[in-house]
Amino acid sequence: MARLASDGYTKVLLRDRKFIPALIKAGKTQSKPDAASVTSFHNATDVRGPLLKSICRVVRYIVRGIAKIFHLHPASDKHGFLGKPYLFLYRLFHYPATNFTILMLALAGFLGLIISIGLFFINDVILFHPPVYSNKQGTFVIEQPFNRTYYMYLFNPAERWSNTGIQINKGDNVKITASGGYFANIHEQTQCARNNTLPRTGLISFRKGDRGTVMETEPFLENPDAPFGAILYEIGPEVVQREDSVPARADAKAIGQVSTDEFTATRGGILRLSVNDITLTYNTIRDMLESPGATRLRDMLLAKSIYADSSDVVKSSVPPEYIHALYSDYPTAWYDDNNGELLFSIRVDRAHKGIYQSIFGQIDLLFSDGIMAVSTFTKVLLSLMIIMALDFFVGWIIRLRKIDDTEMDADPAA
Amino acid sequence: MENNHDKERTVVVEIDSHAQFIRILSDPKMTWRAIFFLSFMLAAIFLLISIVILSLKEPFNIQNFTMNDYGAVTTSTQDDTETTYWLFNSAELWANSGISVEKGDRLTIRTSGRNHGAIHHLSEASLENRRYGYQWSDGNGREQGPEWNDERMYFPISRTNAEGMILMQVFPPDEIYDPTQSPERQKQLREKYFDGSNPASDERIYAIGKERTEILIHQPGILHFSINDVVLTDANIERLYKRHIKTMIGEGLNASDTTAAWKILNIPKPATIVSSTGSDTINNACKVDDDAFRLLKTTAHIEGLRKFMTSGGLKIDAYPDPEYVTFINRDHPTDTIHVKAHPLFNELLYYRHHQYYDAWFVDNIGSMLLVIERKKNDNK
Repeated sequence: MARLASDGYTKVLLRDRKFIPALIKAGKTQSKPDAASVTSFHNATDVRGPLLKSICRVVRYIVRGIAKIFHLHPASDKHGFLGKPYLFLYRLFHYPATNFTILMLALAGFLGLIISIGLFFINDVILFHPPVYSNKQGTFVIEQPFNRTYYMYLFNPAERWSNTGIQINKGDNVKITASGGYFANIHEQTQCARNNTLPRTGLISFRKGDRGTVMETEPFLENPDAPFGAILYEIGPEVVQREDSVPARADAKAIGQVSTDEFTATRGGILRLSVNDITLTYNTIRDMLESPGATRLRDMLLAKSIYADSSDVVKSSVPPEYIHALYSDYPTAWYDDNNGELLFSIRVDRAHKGIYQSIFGQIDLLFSDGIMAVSTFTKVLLSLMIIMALDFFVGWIIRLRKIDDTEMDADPAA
Repeated sequence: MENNHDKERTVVVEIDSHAQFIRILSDPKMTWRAIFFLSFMLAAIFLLISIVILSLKEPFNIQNFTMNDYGAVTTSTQDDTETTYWLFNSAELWANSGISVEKGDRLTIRTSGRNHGAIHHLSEASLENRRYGYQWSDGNGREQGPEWNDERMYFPISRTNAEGMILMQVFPPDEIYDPTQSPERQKQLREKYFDGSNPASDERIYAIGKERTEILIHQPGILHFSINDVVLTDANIERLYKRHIKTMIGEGLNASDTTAAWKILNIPKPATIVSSTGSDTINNACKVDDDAFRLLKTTAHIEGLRKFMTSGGLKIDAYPDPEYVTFINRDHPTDTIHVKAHPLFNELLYYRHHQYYDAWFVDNIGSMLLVIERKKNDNK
């Protein structure tokens, strides 16, 4: 309290009310809420656009309707079993001290967030030095600051279930693309080149498998649902139990076809790549010889044997053991005739990353690959933000015009 | 405040400097609105910093790394230069890289790897430990060897550059060749862009070789790559066939026969019929017009023409059947001739009937790694 003046008769004292006592005193003069105050906004500070206002109006009607039905409204005479707690909460949140506490807690939270954001940008972005290296399988690796890694791997389609050395975790988002191409049968490619005739299967790329294959062989492909020659991926253990001394796939359900779409890994493991072809194991040959297309398949299996030019009658009499023996130490014969190379580019967005990294990564995708590359959630959020921004802008225009009209009405001469 | 009349009066002026703030706190909506505003500002600050960092990237050691759906991987630097890596298979005609360019862009392209133009010749030569005419070549293409095919190389995509050289073409975005399009649309695009005969090709097709620097792009589009060889579009097949016919004139074929001979190229695809003797032999029968039939009949056994059976690299006996061909006079169906191959009936007809336009590309073997540096056009 300060003494401002004194003329001997009047003493003027200046007293600055302390904040906390003023805060406590203000709360004691609360009155019971009325119906309008519960679900209304102060017009003076209302920055909502027409769309948001309409949505709020609809919500308000619904809330009032529910409150009326269940007698929840604090202005109602019958409070019901929820009315009194609601009235208590209403008064509590209209108590300035309560709101001050909430505000202080929020400010403390914001301060913490600002510090954590600052640490993220400094540690994980500005001071991040992207490691560039190659792994033991020769895959080129480039790491990015928001838990995203790029890989480049040169794949030979003659290799079955080629090990890329790329570790994928469950939930990781993976995108695979490739350049280059290959022919599925070097002998046929050579023969057709010699005779200038059309080969049965043309150049196969990652975007295009080939349905020009023999229908009878389809059930025996690594993935019967995918076109012959399509690029397949598998995520599984690095060391796979070997079957007939060839690298086997880990699990038929773990095989997928590489396409231009991203996919989310449903299991963790090492990424392996293969083309959709047939491995001539004992079981596969046995199944082939017992299938409805056995005649055609037998013909294909004997194509390089002494029976190649024999009649169907002769071929049908060849014992299965002979056919098994042809491929017993060479079950990958139908892979080895694949001729070409594919350069794979693989992007992996790790599942377990912080929210800042997720947001930062989505913004990066938006900048580099466009809006179609971001997640559905981000697309929806962006759309809502644009709509709200437009709505706010329209509302601002309307408010400006209302102010102009009000000034015009106040001063007709203007 | 006033004490008794004789004593000094005291007037207390209370300054409530927090009244406005307390009024805000009295209304929970205002409080939550303030919290919402602070949250919005925090999110805006985060987004703003992210956008600034991601716009610049280079000072923050963030590699700008993108991949497109055709396997091309692109990194970019601060001075607006993009570097793209893409693997190209030499057997693919006008392979789509998915790399988009604008008018005025400047490209520098370097290639690594080798390719060979004839897998079958390579295979035969390696079996015999013999050196074939031309060897594996880099992006600059091949020199002519003793087995050089003069007939074929009159109509490559680029006549002024070596066979096997890497070429680049900018396809307009709305005219990208796609196997899923209708056959008519595919054929239209092939005739327009594939064989280099279109006058506009001079501006669209660029010879790359092993290295080409400062390539100025004249129109926007998508980069496609190919080896320099002959594309068997209908137009090129006609040119090759005409040339073949011209070389026969004077050897038993008259100039006046050319019109009838020309009809040979346009005969319908041969039908497969069972021999009239009832045997299991399957013959390919070709129905031809009366004048073409008479020409075929009269020239079938002229020795002078027989040498054209394998002239200019064209295979005569490979079509329509390696063994025999039967011709039927459409106007008089009982008139037939049955010969083992005919000099006027060569592989070009096979290519035309099957629309096998990339037959002379499919025998290429080997992949090339292309590194494409692109400086965007600043004057837009």
